[in-house]
Amino acid sequence: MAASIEIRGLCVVGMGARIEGVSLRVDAGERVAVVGPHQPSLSLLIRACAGFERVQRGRVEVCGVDVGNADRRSLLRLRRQLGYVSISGGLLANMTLRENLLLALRYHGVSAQDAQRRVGAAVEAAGLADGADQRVSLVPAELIKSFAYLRALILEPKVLLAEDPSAFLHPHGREVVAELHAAAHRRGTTVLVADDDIEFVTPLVDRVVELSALEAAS
Amino acid sequence: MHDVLRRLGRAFFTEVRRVVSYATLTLLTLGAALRRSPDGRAVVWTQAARQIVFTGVEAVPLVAFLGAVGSGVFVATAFSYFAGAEENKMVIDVLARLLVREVAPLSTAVVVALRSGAAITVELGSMSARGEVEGIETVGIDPIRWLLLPRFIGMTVATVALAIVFAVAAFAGAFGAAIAVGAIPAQLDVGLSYLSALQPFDVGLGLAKAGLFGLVSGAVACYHGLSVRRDVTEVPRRVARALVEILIHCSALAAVFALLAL
Repeated sequence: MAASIEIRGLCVVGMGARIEGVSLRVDAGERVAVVGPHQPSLSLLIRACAGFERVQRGRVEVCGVDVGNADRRSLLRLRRQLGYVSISGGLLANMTLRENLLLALRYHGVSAQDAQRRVGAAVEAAGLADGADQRVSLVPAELIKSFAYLRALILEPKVLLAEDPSAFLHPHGREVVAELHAAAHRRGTTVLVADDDIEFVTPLVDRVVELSALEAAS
Repeated sequence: MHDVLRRLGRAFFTEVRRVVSYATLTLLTLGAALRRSPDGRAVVWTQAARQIVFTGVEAVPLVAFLGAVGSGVFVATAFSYFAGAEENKMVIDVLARLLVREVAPLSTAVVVALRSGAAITVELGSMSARGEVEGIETVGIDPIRWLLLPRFIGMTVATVALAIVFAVAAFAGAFGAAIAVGAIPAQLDVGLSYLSALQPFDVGLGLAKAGLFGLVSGAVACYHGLSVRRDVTEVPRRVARALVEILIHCSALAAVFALLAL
């Protein structure tokens, strides 16, 4: 099976953390969780896969694109096939939660009517319709995180990358995120998550690997 | 002595590097404007329209007030010194050319910098600190196209439009002041002199300067906003630096234009 994500001997430094010589292969449609006690190192791995950290040594290929050497436009093109959820969600605070989802679709040429329909359906399916019209700056972090997942998935990405998916989530939020992961799996989306909460991520994926084991193997 | 020279040299190269960064940002943004990409066309234009409304339309009362009061005071004061009709005509002549070529673009740039330049730096700085700029990139949205291009368009268009508003309001202020001080020979002459004193070159130069000042204000404000990293306490410092730099760069450009037009 073709690899969706292939990491070889990756070295990255940033965010007060460092990963050294990490190698990992995630096949198309596979779901993998990288776990460990130090969340910044785990986040660094995911951010490097999304092209947000400079690769110092080694190689990261996502959907066939060499992320470390890709230019700005290639990265933008890659990110259309990539869903990425950061720790804090990164939604635009001066918009409503719904508008954040609409923006992602409208920017990529989906008509206003179609975008409204798709967002409405996604929000309903996730059981989040009640808070959807509140401004991001006024809602709790848990809701922002859930909508960040929705934004990442609404463009139907081939690969989903999630940095610390358990952060800010209470039991209800965890159920919502677990359901979104299940929906992504049914669509055949490849998933790579990194989290320090092993109990939470284990049911979401097919394979759990320790970051330290990935470093040691190299 | 060596230490002083080293510091001066370092300051000079820092300044050069910063100007190159502004130019690069401007070129990248203009490149995004010229690229025939269907991405986000509708949302980018909506954003640009919003920026024009905020920077331009909402600033009309302030700019009109400043233009009218400034020229009114100038005319009233000048007419109190010069009583003759010939001298009055000269006052109007100087006022018209000075206003349209020099004062309107620079005053408008100051107003735009204080209102919108500061707002843009705060907005982009807060977005950078909260990870929102990265957040839009994660869904394939080009921040240059969606964040910078509308702000550049808004600042440039609004500064040009506001310079026209300033000049028109200044004309009204001069006319009103002439009536108020009972200027001779006839109030109507003030208006006619004002218009006849203006050459197409003056109008063109004034508008070109206004456009350039708008572009510079946009570039500096956006650059400092996007330079904020993860620390939100950087935002006020960046705003202060952006405002000072906009004023310095626009004043320096105004001086260069004035020298070239001599």
